[in-house]
Amino acid sequence: MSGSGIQVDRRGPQVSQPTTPARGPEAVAKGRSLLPEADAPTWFAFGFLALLILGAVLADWIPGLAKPNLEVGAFSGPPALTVNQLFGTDALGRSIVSRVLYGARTSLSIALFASAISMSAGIFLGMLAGFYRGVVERLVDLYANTLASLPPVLVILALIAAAGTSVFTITLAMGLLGIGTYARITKGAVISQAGRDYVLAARALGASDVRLLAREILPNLVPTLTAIVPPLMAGLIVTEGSLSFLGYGIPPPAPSWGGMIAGSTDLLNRFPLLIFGPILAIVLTVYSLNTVGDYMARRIDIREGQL
Amino acid sequence: MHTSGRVDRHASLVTRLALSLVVVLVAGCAASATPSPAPTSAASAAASAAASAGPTADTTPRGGTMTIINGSDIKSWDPAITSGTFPGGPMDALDAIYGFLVYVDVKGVVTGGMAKSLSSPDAITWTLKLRDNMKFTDGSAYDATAVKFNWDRTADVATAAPTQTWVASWNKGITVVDATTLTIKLASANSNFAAQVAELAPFIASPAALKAAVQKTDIKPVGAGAWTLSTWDQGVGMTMARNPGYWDQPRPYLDTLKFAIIAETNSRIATVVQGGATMMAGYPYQFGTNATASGVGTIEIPIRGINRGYFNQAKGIFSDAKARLAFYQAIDRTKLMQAFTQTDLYKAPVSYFGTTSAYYDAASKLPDYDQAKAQSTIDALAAAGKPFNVKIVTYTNSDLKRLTAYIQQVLSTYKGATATILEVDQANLPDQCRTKLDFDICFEGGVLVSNGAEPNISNLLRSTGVTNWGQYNSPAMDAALTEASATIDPAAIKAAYAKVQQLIVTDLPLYVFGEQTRSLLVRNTTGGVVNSNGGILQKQYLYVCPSACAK
Repeated sequence: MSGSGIQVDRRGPQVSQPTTPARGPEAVAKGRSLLPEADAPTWFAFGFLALLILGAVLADWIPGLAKPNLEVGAFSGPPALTVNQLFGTDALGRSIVSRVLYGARTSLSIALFASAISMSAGIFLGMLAGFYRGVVERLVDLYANTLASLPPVLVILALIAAAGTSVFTITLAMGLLGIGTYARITKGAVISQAGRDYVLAARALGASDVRLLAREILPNLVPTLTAIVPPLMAGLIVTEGSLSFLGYGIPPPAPSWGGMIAGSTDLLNRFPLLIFGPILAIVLTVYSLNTVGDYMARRIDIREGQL
Repeated sequence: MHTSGRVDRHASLVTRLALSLVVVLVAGCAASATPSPAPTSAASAAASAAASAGPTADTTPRGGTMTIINGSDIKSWDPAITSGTFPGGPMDALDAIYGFLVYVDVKGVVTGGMAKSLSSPDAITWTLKLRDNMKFTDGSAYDATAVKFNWDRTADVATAAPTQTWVASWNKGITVVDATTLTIKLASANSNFAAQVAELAPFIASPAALKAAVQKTDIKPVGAGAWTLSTWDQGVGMTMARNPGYWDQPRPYLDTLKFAIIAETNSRIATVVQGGATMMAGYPYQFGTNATASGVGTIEIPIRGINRGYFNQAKGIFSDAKARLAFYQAIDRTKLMQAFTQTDLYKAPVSYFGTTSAYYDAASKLPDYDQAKAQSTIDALAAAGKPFNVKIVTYTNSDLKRLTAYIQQVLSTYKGATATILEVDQANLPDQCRTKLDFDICFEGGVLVSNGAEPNISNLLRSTGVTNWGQYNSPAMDAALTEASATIDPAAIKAAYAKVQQLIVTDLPLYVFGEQTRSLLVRNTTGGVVNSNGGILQKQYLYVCPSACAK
């Protein structure tokens, strides 16, 4: 296949694809689907996340949408059928819809970049631990277990106390705390892959450790990681919201979902709708990410079952 | 299965998190303030208060229990440690045990309490007349010697009383004339002296109890006030029984008075609404619909106060009076109050004194909201190398957070203006602002009683004033305040305060953004509410109505 002397099918478990039953018309239809075998909640979850991401990215260009720190109406005004007042206005007369969308930028960015930090370091450590085992595995386990034993919010609060509140600090802190989780999951996945035929074949053909890890095993970790990233990102969004709620998150006046909830709690008995927008955003986002994660996990199970 | 399980876990995490944090953070709104009596030479009897209490002594219901919720507790029973006479504060407990020597009623008149009167013909020599045959609860005499002992002790640096400097400025002039008479000769005329005593040195304890205590925390609460202490769980609450030897029988009307300490405003409100306590002090905007809940009523405390911020005039942008003017012009104070209170109950005050004050001068008005002029001034300041970058300092309170956030939001709409906000713990605010001067404008919560004049106005505006956090220093202001205190002629006092008001609107030493009166949220069977000084209750008049009597 390739021009090199080593010819190994790097798809790992997928090499067994020819053994799958012949496709009938229904299977062909499913194969053409954007989300094969997705149920209604899954479609909703993907759709909501797509809309949220689009809304967050394109918020500056949404016609009529006010800037998040601009007074557009009455203080704690009720919802109305206008773009800016769809969820009402907050205690300072700002559009809650606008602040939810601009807040999504913050929440999603932090979750994304923190996940990137956790994944890159966690996958690296997990691969070393799963591949070499022994002392390396024990060290990585020790590191991961230590991180897991620390209450994340308290650790992040301590880091914020030391380094000051900023998006960078929060992202970095959450990213560092997530490394252990990715390392352990990756380690387990590597251990399960390391004894498979395609790895043994590559090794027999003289592939180096680096090549085995980077070219053979890593691509086969992608499905597993794809399934765990969304729910872990959901956890990050909740954590970021909690920090903002506690007043240690995104410094105001920048919009953040947790900050919006925190700013409304003392007024709940008088203006209960204030909290509706940000709560809805957090709940639907977390629900959607978990649903997407579960969908991914189901797809992996199906593929593994086809082996 | 797997999907829903995971979703449930996360959804429930969000819900639990939100609920738990709501519980933790529904706080705020803690009101702190300092009080202020009105200036007048004094003499009056408790009869006026009794009359304002409503029912006469003969028909007033007796017995029963009331529970007052306060935001904080006292640290000791030291009568020299005073901290403001606003309702709902720690002074309530000291008053219940010791009673006010004299107090300022809601009309600004200094009224006899434990003493018959404190008066002067010339504002220099003051005469304190005590009631006959009064006894502390340990049996010792409540006489002129005991009063002198207490004031001398307050003037002693070792007592560490907040009012030590002030009392030390006159305690050398005390003369015990007889058992019930004591004179105080001041170094210079001070027509506000009686009101200041009511505010700053009103409590007298048994000298024997004070002498017996090695440390402040050892001091036993032995007074001659309306109540005696039964139990005290510090920081939680206390129970008091009526003092059968109280001078003003048949008062107190209640058999038992309890104080509960609840720091968080919404929890205090909920406790009253649910019937767990009789009353709490706050503001109508805090009560919301709770004010109309079943079994609950509100009683306005008719003592007006101002919401204020302190401009730092020692350094920074507001050392320039033009910047202070621009700040006034840049922000619509009526809307600021709306953001602060989330109601439209309040208008921007036009003066330090309210329009109902005896000292109000319509000729001196605080600057109006004017965006164009504000921008023009901000531009001019920037051109002069003074960028309009404002550091706002306040403490962690949800109302104040909204207030400062709104100011920041409004200032950001002006070209060349920015604002940053620093929130500190409430206890650290004086250090941050008064001591370190690390602010451009500093906001305290609560209202400062200001319809009367002294001692608050001198504390705020004199160059040596203890609450002059912004270090405003004006010889003309000092002279005007001295002029007002040096006479007992009402017309001359009013003329002097007219000068003060003129200087306030010219120099703008304070940012006066709101005016309010406090209210009590009460069970609707609460009778006998008599306020004094900064709003503190004269609790000996409280009684339980047989049926609803508070609206």
